[in-house]
Amino acid sequence: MTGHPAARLESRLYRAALRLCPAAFHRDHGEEMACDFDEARGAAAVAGSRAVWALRLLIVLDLVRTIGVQWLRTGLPAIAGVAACISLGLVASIASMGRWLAGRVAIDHETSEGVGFVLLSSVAVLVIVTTIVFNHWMQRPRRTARR
Amino acid sequence: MTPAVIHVLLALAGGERHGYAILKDVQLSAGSRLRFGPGTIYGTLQRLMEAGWVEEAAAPDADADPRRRYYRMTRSGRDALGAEVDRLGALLDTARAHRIRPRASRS
Repeated sequence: MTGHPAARLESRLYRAALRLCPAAFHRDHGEEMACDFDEARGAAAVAGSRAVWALRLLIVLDLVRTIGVQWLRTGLPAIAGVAACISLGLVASIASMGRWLAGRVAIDHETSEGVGFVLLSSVAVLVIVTTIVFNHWMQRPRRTARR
Repeated sequence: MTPAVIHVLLALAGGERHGYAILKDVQLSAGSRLRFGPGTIYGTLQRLMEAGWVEEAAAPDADADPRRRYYRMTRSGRDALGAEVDRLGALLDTARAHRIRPRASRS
């Protein structure tokens, strides 16, 4: 890490931001990337303030792109999307069943609010559960090794 | 092949290198039109290792920084790069046949 206080702060911020990457990518390359940042920051400081600002801009754009790309590569956003769709579909069916039952049984306003709350909570719980289940299923050991 | 993949493989064509050396080589060969940061380089290296085109190499000497990992191109990586260079060469020939010249040589 370089000696200048601003460089030290930026190095810490960069290390902290790298934690936003998926754990596997951070474990494999986080230390190298932080090391590269320190070297590049040192070289930019020697070249002048314009080079430092150019590096900052490059690093911010690169970091945003890397975090997005690496999370997409894990498949988790797609898994969460599918899980949300399935959960919403399930809860919508339960809700329509409830509406059908409500026509036959007299339900007061308070009970109706309670049912709404239960349905909303069910969506949240189902999204979390299906995401976890799908994630484990996607990451299960395969018989054939991937290249 | 993306520009990042081509530049990383070209950087490794000169022998094994650590990530920062690859980054500097890529910045030199890509010039000011393409700017790559560490995330792009390591993301590309990860994909290339998964494809079997790049592999990790032992540090060249005992004094090497232990935080650094070294990478080298595999035989299949070299073949893939060769095929891409052939494809780009053919593309260049076609462009020349249509009298399309690079912008730099027009003036």
